[in-house]
Parts: sequence; structure tokens; C-alpha cells
Amino acid sequence: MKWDREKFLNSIGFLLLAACFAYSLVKIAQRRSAEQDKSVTTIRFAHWQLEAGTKAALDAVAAEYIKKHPKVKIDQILIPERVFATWLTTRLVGGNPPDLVALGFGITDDRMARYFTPLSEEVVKPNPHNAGTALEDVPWRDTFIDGLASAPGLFNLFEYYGIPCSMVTTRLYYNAPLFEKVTGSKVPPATYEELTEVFEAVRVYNEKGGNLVAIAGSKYNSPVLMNALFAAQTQKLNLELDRRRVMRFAGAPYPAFFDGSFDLFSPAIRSALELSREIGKNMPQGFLSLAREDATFSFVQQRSLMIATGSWDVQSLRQESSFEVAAIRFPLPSRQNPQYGAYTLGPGSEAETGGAVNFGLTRDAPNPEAALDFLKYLTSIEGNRIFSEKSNWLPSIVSVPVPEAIAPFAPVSEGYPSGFILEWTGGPEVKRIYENAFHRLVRPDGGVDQFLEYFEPRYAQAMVLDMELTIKNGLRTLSMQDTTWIALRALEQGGDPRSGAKAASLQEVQAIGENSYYSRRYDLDEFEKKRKTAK
Amino acid sequence: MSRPISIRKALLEWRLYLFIIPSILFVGTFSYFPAISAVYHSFFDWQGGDSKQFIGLANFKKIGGDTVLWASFGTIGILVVANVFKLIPSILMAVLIHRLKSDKWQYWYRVLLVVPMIVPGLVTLFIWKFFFDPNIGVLNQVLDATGLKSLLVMVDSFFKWGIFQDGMPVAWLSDPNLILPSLIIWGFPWIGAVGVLIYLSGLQAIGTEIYEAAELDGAGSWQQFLHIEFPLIMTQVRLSLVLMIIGTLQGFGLQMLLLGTSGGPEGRGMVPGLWMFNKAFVAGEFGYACAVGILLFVFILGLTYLNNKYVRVDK
Repeated sequence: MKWDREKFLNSIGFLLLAACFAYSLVKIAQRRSAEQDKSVTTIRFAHWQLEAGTKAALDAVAAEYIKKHPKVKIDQILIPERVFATWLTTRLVGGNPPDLVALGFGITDDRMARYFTPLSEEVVKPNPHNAGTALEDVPWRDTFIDGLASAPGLFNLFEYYGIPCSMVTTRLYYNAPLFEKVTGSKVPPATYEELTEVFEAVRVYNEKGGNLVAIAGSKYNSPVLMNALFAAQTQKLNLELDRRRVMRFAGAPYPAFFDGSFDLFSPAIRSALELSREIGKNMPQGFLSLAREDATFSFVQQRSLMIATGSWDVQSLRQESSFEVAAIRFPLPSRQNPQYGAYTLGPGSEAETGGAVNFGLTRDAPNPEAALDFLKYLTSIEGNRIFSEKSNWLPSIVSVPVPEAIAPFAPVSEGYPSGFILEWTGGPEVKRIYENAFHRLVRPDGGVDQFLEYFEPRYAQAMVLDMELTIKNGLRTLSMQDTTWIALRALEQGGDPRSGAKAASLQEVQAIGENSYYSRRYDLDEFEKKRKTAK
Repeated sequence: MSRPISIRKALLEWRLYLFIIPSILFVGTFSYFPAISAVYHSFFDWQGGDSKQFIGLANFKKIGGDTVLWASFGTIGILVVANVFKLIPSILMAVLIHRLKSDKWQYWYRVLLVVPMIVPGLVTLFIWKFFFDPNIGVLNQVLDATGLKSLLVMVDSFFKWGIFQDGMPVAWLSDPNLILPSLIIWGFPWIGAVGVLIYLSGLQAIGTEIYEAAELDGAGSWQQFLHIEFPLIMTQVRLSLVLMIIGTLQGFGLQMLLLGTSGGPEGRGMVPGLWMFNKAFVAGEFGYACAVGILLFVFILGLTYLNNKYVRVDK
């Protein structure tokens, strides 16, 4: 047969396509055949923790679990946080979610109640994977450092929906050798006053020909520090507003705004905004348009001296930096500070630091029992130790030691309750107008007045819209529990006394929830009446 | 125009219709069903999933008072007008390629235009995001290197804009006054490969005898473009306009990547598509988002109709 070069060249594309197609076909067939093996149970869990070491750590826990349960396969689904909410919403609405999902992006109380299984009955039983340890007979809930006090769903839905496998704290990381070079000292700042001295040292360093930014900024990293400083300025105000003594971050101003006891003209708010502006001056110009990776690059390339982020980044930053990375708690204004001291109580306590990487069990989970068992293993002493050691993330279980590498990140309980931040006083509308207005606060020719000029006229309407949404969603979520209540009552009438007790408990929870939402409705209606009269 | 055939005659070849059925099923399932579902859900208070409450026209009434949405239509209007002008470089490029005497060079120019299409759109968006970086971005470096920055500062101090200042990098995406210019600058020099290829196909249909006649009449290059080439590619221009209008009104990926779901400083980058996304995936108001989608559909339909009616095509 005669060699036809043109024919051969023309068929390359087709052959490539056919090869790719055949490869995909084989891969899919292999996967399908594995799935159809009824003796193997596949657990899938999804999260957005793409930081260095996290995936490997979770894989290590899964491998250890599989050793004990050879007929189980565990798939980790990694979705970037930028698209996690969209991805999850689509999966939940479409009715094909993974077994376990990290709760956070894209999760509201309403969605939690609708798409996830409450674990309240499970958390009061001991974790079987703690057998033979000091926690053998301890209820699962009490094996967590925070006693699951911050578990997703508990505050508004009165049910446990999420189980944390870690805890996170936020810190100010700095380039240790560069810090010494710029400031002439090895001692990091402990207060805001000392931090301003570092800013001054950076300015002097730049005057001598340096090109250094004090704090790497981005729309992801900057709020980490700014929020901490803002919350330090609203500590006293929060205690005044928090009549129920909930002591929760951002919890108090929401009702207080509607009964007229909180507005944006409070001196503490102005002071907090001033402080945010001060900090913003030491971040790169236009940092609001920069992403997390831009700030990270700036820090690891030694263009910035410091960066504010959480304990979740410690492994990544240490791996990517060619210098020693150290971390400190945020230097906050002391009570003696003439400008900012009047509104602060003192260093904030991290006792309210809740669990992180909270996994929830989806209602449509293909293998709920197996997934729940894996979750229990992940939060057992053994599983959580493996996770913490391999990832350098803080453990969430009481008896698990904090790895030495992350000792500076262990939560510090001593201190005062935190204040709130403006962005979180409402819901999505408040957050949106805050983001729209924020550039006015930090731009060189901006200021607090310019910020309030845009934000304040829109704030009331945004709060009203957010409150309406909260009430609507809350009542709908509670009404969804009616079906469960009816079912429990039916079981009780069929002779099951345990169901009767559960029904009574659920009824009580619903009554508390409804009372809370109708009281908010009343506050909102009164507020609207006053607004109309004022107009 | 071909004459319609009778039903009886058409049914004689019934087997041929079987081949069309799979395509129709796919189009119906993946294109029409979601659209019809959106119309249906726009009458509900729906937060995704199976639970929903019929609320009639309430979502559409709410649209009437939605100031963010209407402001976003203002933004999109400006972007549509800007995009009309952004079609010009592609038309000129197509004409230049068409006028090349060498077929070989025409071929290589076409290849060079098509090669960037291999780069995924998201990568292009990220590269542009980097261009806009105020500190290390290419755009500011070009302005500094060419001295254009000093010129802008001078103009700024004359008009008192307060945007361009000496010693301060231009904050393209964090200054509300620069959001729209940034969105317009995006894609510079605005030579779209698809557009050029569409115009080229039109230009190549023009017979050489027309050019010869024009040359005999003494028409220069510019006159040939104005009186021959441009009128004869109006079918393609109209198609481009329709695609551009649909793309601009529907699109929000650029705004979301550069500015986030809140539309950036003072919401200046908020467009209807982004607001629809925000309402669905941030606020969880899927029903309302569907209603916004229906409104967008009506707008696109209206603009396409106007475009087809008033953009004259010479046969």
C-alpha cells in the first residue's frame, strides 16, 4: 500500500480524538464498575480547604479508616471557595449532594434545615471510635474543645447540624529577618501603639530606598485585621446593646437597631472606622481589588512585611517562603491609647473561637450511616490527631495535643468578649452596601464622613430588607419541622413514648423560634411606622 | 425562496425525521426546559429545591422598585454602546486581511487570529485582572513608562476629577469612577477572532468585478470601504450586533471576577446578570432571580427586534 502523507496527517486529529474518547470511556467504565460493586460503600465529602497539607491530612485519616473498614472507599471533593456556594447550591437543589459537606459558603439556616440531617441525637451518645481512651464514655458533644457551642444550626435552629474537625484562629504573620532589618528589633509589636512604630520604621526604610508595604492587603486578607481592630473598638458598645447577654460576635446590633438603641453615629463606630482607615493606609494602594493570592505573593516575595490571615495558612506560608515566618496575635489599641482607648475593654478572648471545617450530613446522602461513622472517626482522638499532625491545623478534640509547629495559634481564652463589625450587623444587603461603600473609607482622599455619606442613607433600608428575609426564612424553616412533629405525634399515639418526648421537645424549640421571629416582626413593623411618620 | 412542500409529501420521508428527534430532545431538555422552568418559578417565592409558595406577580412588582436593578440597566446601556464601537477594530482588521494580495499571508493572519481562541476564557480574564493590578499591573506600568500618567494627572488637575494623582498608582478597580472605563478598556485592542472571521466570510463573497468597476470609477481605498465593503457586510455586522447585545446583557463573569458579587465600589460594576446571580446565590431568592431573568429576556428580545428592524441590509 502506498504511503499517503496527506491522508496520514488528516487522520492524526481523528486518531487523537478517538484515543481520548476511548481513554475516557475506560475510565468511566472502571468507575462505574467500582460503584456497582454493592459490597463497597463509597463515602464522598466536599470542602474548599485547598491549603497545603489539608487534602493530604484528610486522605491520611481516610486511609487509616479504610484500613479498619476495607469495604469502604472515601472520595474527597475539593471545590475552590470562590465557586463553592454556587456548586453546593446546585448539588443540593438538584438532589445529588455528597454525603458530607463542609458548612459555610452557600449555607443559610433555611438550607441547613432543609438539606441536612440534624445530629442532635447523635452528639449526646459517646463516640465509638474513642473506645479504650479517656473519652470512651463521654458524649460526642463533650469531646469537642468548645463543647459544640458554636455548631452550625444551634443558635437559630436549636439543632446540631455541623461537626467541626478543627478550630481556627487569626494572626498577624511577619517576615522575621526582614522585620529585624527594618525595625532593628526582634521583638514583635504587642499593642497597636507598637504596631504604629513598625509602620513608621517601614516608612523610614522606604525613604532610604526600600520598596516595602507594611501589611499585604487584599479584599480577603485586609478584613481579617481590620475586623479584629473594629471589633476591639465596639467591645463596650456591644456589651451595652447585648441585653440578653448572648455575647456573640455581631449578634447584638441587629435587634438594637430596630428598637432605636443603635445607630451609625455612635462615637465607638466612628472610632472603629477611623482605626480601619489608619490600618488601610499601611496596605497597598487599591488593595480592595486584590485577591488573596496577590497578598500571599506579595508577602512570600518579600514585598510586604506582614500579612493577616488565619491558622489555615500557616503550612502554605511556611512552605512557600524562603525566610522564617513568625506570627503574633493582633496588636490592639490599649485602654491608655488617647484616641482609641476609650471604647476598648482590652485584649479579646478567643474562648468563643468556634470549631472550623464543620461537616454536615446531607439528607440525600447516598450512605448516611457510613458517612456518619467516618465523621465520628475524623473527630475521634485518633482521627483528629492524624488530621492535626498532618495538616498543622488546630485540633477540635480535647485530648488531642496541639502540634508544636502551630502552638502560637492555639486559642487564648483569657481576655474580654469581642465587639461586632458593621458588615455583619445585618444580612446580604448590608454586606453588599458595606462592600460598595468601603473604598470611601480607605482611599487616600476618603474618610469616615465620606464613608457614612454613602453608607448611612442606605443602611436602614438594607437592614429592613435583611430582617424581612431573616423572618421569612426563619418562619419557613420552623414550619418545615411541622411534618416531623406530626409524624412523631403519630408514632406516640401508636405507643412509642420516646417519640412523644421528642415531639414535645420539638414543639418547645418551635415555640421559642416562632416567638423570636414574631417579636422581630413586631420590632420591624414599629420601626417602619416610625420611618413613615418621620417622612 | 423555496416553496413549502405538502404534508403528504413531507411524510413520505418520515424516516428522516427520526434523525432530528434526538437533537430536538436535547435542545428541548437543556435549552427550553430551563427557560420554561424559570418563567414558571418567577411566580413563586422560591429559594431553590422543592419548597415554594405561589405569589403571583409579586416578584415582578418588586422589580419595579428595585433601584439596584434599574441602575444596573444604566450600566449595561453604556457597555452596549461602548461595545458597538468595539466592533470597529474587528471590521477594520477583516478588511485589511481581505485586501492582502497574498493568499498565503491571508491564511497566516487568520491562523494568528484563531490561535488565541485556544486559551480558555477564564485565563484571559485572570490575565486582565493582573493588568489592572494597581501596584504591579501592566496597565499602570505602561502609563508610567509612556508618560501618559503625567498627562492624565495634568488633565485631572484641570478638570478636578481627583482620580489620577502623582505618586499614587491608578486604582482601576477600586475607584468607582474608573470601574466603567476599566470594563470598557477590557479586551483592548478589541479584535475578536470570531468577529473577524464572520466579516471575512462576508468580504470574500464580494466579487472582484465590483472592485474593478470601483477602481475604474476612481474610488480610493476609503471610498471602496465605505460604499462597497461596509454595506455588503451589513448582514454580518447585524449578526455581530445581535450576538454582542445578547452577550453583553447576559454576561456577568467579567464583573464577578474583577469586582465580586456586590459590583465593586458603589456598585458601579453591577449589571443585571450579576444582580440576578447575587439574588439567587447570595440572597437565596431564586424566584426573584427568575423574574429578573425574564425581564432580561424581554429586553434582549426587544433590542434584537429593533436591531433587525433598523439595521439596514443592502442585498
